[in-house]
Amino acid sequence: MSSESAEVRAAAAPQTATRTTATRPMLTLIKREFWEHAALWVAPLVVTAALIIGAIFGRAYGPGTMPVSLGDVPATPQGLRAISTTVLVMFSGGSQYVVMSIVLWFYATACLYNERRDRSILFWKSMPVSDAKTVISKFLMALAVVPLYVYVVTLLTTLVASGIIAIPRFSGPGGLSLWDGGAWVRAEAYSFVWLVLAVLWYAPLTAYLLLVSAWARRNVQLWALSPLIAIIVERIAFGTHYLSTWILYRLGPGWQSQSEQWLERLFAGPFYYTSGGSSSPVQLFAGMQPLKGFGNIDLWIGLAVAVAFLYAAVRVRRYRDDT
Amino acid sequence: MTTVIEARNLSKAYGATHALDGVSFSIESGRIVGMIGPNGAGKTTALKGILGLSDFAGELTVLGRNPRTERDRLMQDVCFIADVAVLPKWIRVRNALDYVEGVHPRFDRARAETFLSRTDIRQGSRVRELSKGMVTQLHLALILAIDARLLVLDEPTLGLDLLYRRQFYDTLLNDYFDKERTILVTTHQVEEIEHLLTDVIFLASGHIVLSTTVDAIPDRYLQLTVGPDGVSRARELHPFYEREVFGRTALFYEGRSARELEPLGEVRAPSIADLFVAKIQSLDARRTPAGLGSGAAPGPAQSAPGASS
Repeated sequence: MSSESAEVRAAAAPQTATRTTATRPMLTLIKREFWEHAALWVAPLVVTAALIIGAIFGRAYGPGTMPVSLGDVPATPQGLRAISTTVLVMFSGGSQYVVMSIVLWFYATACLYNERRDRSILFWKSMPVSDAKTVISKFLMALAVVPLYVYVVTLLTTLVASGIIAIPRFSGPGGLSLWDGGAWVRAEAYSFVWLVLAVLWYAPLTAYLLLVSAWARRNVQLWALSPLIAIIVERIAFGTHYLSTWILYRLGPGWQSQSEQWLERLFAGPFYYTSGGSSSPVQLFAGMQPLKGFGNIDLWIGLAVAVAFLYAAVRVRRYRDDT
Repeated sequence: MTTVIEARNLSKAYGATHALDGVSFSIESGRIVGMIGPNGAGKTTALKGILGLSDFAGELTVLGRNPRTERDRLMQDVCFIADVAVLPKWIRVRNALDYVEGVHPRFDRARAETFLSRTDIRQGSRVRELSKGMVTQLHLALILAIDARLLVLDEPTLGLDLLYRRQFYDTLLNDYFDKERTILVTTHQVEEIEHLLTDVIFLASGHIVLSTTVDAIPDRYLQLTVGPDGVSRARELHPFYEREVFGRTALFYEGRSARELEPLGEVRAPSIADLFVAKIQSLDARRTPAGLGSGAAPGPAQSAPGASS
């Protein structure tokens, strides 16, 4: 074949008009993340399966009749139902969000690192998708898409688990139901607000991990943990712990307002609630004002820092050339 | 014809080494341009500049846009295949189609699926389950279904067997190329693509050694093959490179007419591969006078033509 024949053939080829079809880039980018990181959608389902199996065993082998008291305090059926429903929601949520945090840590550190390691970044960059859009899609995954998905999964889990534990073991008046709809709605609403606050509170950490992921040449986990190394260095070299105080504050549950101490309440279990004398769903959340968390200026400063980290991650992905 | 790529004085240094050193060229639409050079000549660096993947000094316009500042928009009209390794291993064929369909306004899914149906690739397979050749077919299917104006291929068939390589270029030519489109390809396997190129750019050590249309080569370069007794007379005409093959000597001339050379022996236009070797070897020989093997005959100093195609 000569170049002439190539040209003849080219001339004969039909002229194609420029086609343009509608695209949904952000939705596609989000789907892409779930294809690559299956743990993002599988892990919550695994936790759900474990919780439901736990509920079935609990129902089969747990108490079949109502206890007359919790600790020293006499229990009312209504109070017991409210407590058990709330604890169920909190425990399911707690398990799901701990697993989610671990999964998201590995997701955030891997998502901009793996594409460079396997050079697939050259494929992604051959598509008309800006670096900003790519980085934002990954940030949105960790900030909104995955937490929302886990929230919905958890909500459905508590419904199923509630249904299981609500089945009376013995028919008749001795049968025990541990389900309280009002307490459930309230607990779900509160945990949603806490989830939003927590996700926003940890946004700078997420953005930092994305930046490390875009930047590190190797040992991405080590770089992600480098602030901890800085803490040790500070302790040894200067004998101070400003850095550790500050980092621990940012890593801790700084998003819950001081008055809440809800973690404490959760871990203290039902006894905490009943020690006041009576146990109603109203009292369970008495004094809690989760929306107050939005008034914490540190939350908003953190978000500004997160934006700066994201911007840096976009720049690094745009101009780094190590393929 | 419009200018697709206009590069002026492109330079890029990695530390002390100049990957590109003041390179200028331009590429018109409807051409198939081969960028050919030894390892480290600056080919990939030039392509990365064109694709806005790395920074450089100098002026560069691609489809009227600046790849440094407008690369996102540019990528709607430019496709590239970096090499066979870059499709993500974890993606399923079906999802790869979903992805490109979701982000690329000029992607025609039906076209990609038609192409894939002619291969053994199943849509449910993951890339890691495909052979190297099939991955390239998949990548090609994605690219061919994009109505782009410029296609950049960087060693696209590296590591593929002959059948896949041949098929790759045949498909490219038959199903893709037309007057509106431009293909810029780099490869080591010059012989394989020389029949489809309309233009060549030879790069060595960050410089352009030759930039010409393929049609113009016979007017400018000739290869003369003579027996042992004709060599000394042939050398009087100042070939820039010569090499011995089976006891006969092939001498390469620039700017000689066939009429001058025909009395001495067998004259023909050099193949692109032979011309490439001759040009690069004569450069090396001049740089290190001790030379490489038969080396270059002393000849008129070569200008490095930066002329556009």
